[in-house]
Amino acid sequence: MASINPGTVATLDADDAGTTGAAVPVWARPQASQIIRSLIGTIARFIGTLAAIALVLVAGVWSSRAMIERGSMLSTHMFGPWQLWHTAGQADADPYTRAHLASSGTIRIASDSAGVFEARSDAGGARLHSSCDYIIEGPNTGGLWWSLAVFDARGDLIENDARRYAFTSDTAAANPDGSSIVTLGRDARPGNWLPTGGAGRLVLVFTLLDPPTGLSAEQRDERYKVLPAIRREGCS
Amino acid sequence: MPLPSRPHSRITLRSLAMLPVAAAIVHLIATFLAMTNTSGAAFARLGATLQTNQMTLLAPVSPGQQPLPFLSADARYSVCRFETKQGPVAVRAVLPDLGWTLGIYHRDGSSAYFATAAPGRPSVIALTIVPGDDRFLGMTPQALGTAANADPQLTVSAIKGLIVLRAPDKGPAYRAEAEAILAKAACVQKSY
Repeated sequence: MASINPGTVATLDADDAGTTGAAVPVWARPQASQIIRSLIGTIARFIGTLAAIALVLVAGVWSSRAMIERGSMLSTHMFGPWQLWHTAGQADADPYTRAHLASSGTIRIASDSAGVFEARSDAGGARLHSSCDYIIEGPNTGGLWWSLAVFDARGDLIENDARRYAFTSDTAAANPDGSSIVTLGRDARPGNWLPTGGAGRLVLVFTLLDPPTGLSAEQRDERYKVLPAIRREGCS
Repeated sequence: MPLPSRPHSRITLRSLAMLPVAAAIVHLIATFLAMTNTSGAAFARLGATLQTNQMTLLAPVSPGQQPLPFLSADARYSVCRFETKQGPVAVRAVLPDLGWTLGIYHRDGSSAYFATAAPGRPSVIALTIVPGDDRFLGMTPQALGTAANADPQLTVSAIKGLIVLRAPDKGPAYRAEAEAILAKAACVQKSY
């Protein structure tokens, strides 16, 4: 058994001290400051562990949500401001694309049958917003069916008196060279005008159907180089 | 004299390296869970309003009547919620002109089949959706010794999902004709 002298050292009985029988210095005695320090250390370690777990969870879940909702280089291709989920709707779609479709509730034409592009910004990289006017210049698609629709940020149609929500190759007035110009803005304009009201942030969806004979990957890449240009005219 | 060191309290390089690995594992689990959770998918959103194995012509899409996000008002839609649990489902539709499409989607929104119209001539789509597993679907007409009717040869494997027939809206003058063609589309459960 150990006995502690009131002096500077504590001594051990032979049984406790083993073979050494050495004196135990007084600093090894658990004192209040050491207990507090140990307690603080334990709490700090506990908080540190909790923080590490929280960091891991937040980083893992946030990065997953971001890649599912907004896409990444793994699942999307960017063509200027236009984003394409390149395996959307396909049987071999990547997990992020599958999760994107499952969580967003959208029905997409399979990407091997059509190009479905979303734009949330203009050619200059600024967010599309209903307080601005835009000109969208679409090239001649060579007789292929296309559609250009505008939505608010949640994917809802924008209420307007003209009941205009989209233009297609059937309904848009085309230029003599086969190209089309669609304008986006709050105030009525002549031509292919899509009202944006007070929707706030906007999302444009451009759909271009493949020819019934299909396209090779090279042909598709070539075609996607010529997508409508989104030019901002001005903001109020 | 210095206090004895407490190695377990130090942040080691190993524990730091474990953080991104653990975050990556959480990332993969979260992605997998999101992929398998189809409660927000189009099938779940539309499913409650549709009868099983019956084509339904949806109302024109407008701000008050938009059943799915990013569903464009540039088309009319006829939708069937199919289920092959009780037997194969026969699908028949005509795609009369450019812009018409027919898509068969699984519950998670991925596509099982997709067809677009050819320009200038109608395309007749006739196919059978069969369950993807090895279940017994009954005796075939050949096995029963009866003449096979004109069964479509094209088969698609899926258990549950949506069939979406899409007709581009060319304007008021064409709407009645498009609606008539949409209404003729069929999605019927078959029995051998």
